[in-house]
Amino acid sequence: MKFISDSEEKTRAWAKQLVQGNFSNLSESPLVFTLQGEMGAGKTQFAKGVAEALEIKEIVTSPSYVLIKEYAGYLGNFVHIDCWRTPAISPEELHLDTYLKPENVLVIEWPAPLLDYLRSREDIRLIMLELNDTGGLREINLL
Amino acid sequence: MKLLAIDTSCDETSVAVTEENHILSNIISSQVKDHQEFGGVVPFLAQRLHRERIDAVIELSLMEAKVGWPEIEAIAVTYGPGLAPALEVGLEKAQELAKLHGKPLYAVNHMAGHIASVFTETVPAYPLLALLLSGGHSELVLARSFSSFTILGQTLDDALGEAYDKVGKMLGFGYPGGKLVADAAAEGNDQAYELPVPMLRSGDLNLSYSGLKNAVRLLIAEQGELDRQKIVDIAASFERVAQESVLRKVTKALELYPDVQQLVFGGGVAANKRLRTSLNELCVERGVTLLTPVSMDLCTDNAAMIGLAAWLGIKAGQKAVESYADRVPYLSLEDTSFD
Repeated sequence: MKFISDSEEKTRAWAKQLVQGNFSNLSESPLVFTLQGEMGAGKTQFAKGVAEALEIKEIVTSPSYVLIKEYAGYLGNFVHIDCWRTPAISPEELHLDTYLKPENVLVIEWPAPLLDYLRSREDIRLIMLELNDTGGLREINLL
Repeated sequence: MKLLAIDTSCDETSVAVTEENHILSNIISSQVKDHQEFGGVVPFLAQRLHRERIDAVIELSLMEAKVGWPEIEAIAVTYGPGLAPALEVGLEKAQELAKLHGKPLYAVNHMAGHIASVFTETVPAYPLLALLLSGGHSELVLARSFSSFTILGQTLDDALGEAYDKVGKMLGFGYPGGKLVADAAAEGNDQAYELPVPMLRSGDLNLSYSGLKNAVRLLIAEQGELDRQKIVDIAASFERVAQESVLRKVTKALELYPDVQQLVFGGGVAANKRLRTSLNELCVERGVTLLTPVSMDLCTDNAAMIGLAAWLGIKAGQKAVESYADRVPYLSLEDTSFD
């Protein structure tokens, strides 16, 4: 599956739809998006769209500095994680399991150090995405 | 009124003793080295280190101030914004001490602390405008008193300090490279490259750095091999436009609120010389007084500013915490207004 966006609004709207399409399973398992892609590929816009779907009022800003930002949302929490600064961190050091609860939605940017662990968890809904900037257009691929 | 103040909002364990606007001690135990191997602040590691250190830092702070518990009249503690696991340590300790010694407890907003950090020698004149820039925050705030804050603008994505760090990484400075970008910028030609000034036509007072960050990334990709001259010129060009957007927003805020007499510049980025100089020029032009922290310790996270903020808050009518105060990781200055 591939999605092409020519604006920040479209990226946000697509993210919002993806979350809404998974609402029905949320009470059983957390929804986790991993976003791979370089700076400027639209990861923050995607996260903003997820927050919109969860009716979060706060402005969603980059979590690079503090690694994890957690916002109270519709149903559970929106957990925004960014491992850009911490390419060698382990899931235990992040206490990742405390966030992987039903009703929570996680967006994980630069997820490389957490991918093996996430794949091993059968109780979560994991959606892995790759974002690319292809000459002004943003291409989002489902991995 | 002597206050014991505690701040454990991020990766510094800090305890201070203040008396009105005087700082009697300001002990900061930094965890920077402990987090460095990860490349960033790890919330639960910060919590463990705060727990290990807080008692010793309190002891040291009282010793340096030459003050004993009987003389301390109240306790002040940061309850947000910050990392939840880190904030919890300071709050738990402050509440334990308040109970043990029978002292009133004041819950303080960390960002109000950054505003208060400049009032060691002067007193606030309201309304005042505060520009708070650090690795985690970029805000433009109007204070009508120390109990009434309005956020006029804030970053929509990256904080300015973070944009510096990310550009540093793109230029090969490692992490955190923000300070190295500023140093390189001082050697470079700031007109060497055209870069877009962020949020030029947004019509509001918000900031944004993701577009500029992307423009720098594309510029670096176009250059091919980077030599030292290119690096310093890119750093200088980035710094010029990043700061230009701040200066424009401050100018606009001063136009919108012509009765403002003081511009407070606080947070870690307040140590940046170029921005201090250009803000000063702007303030001189407009007859506004620029106030910056008197030392580097007061720019970065510290507890003395929490004691100073508690004192200003108490004078403005802030009440002590009655039962229990919980941490609020996304606390906004507007939630702290108690008018």
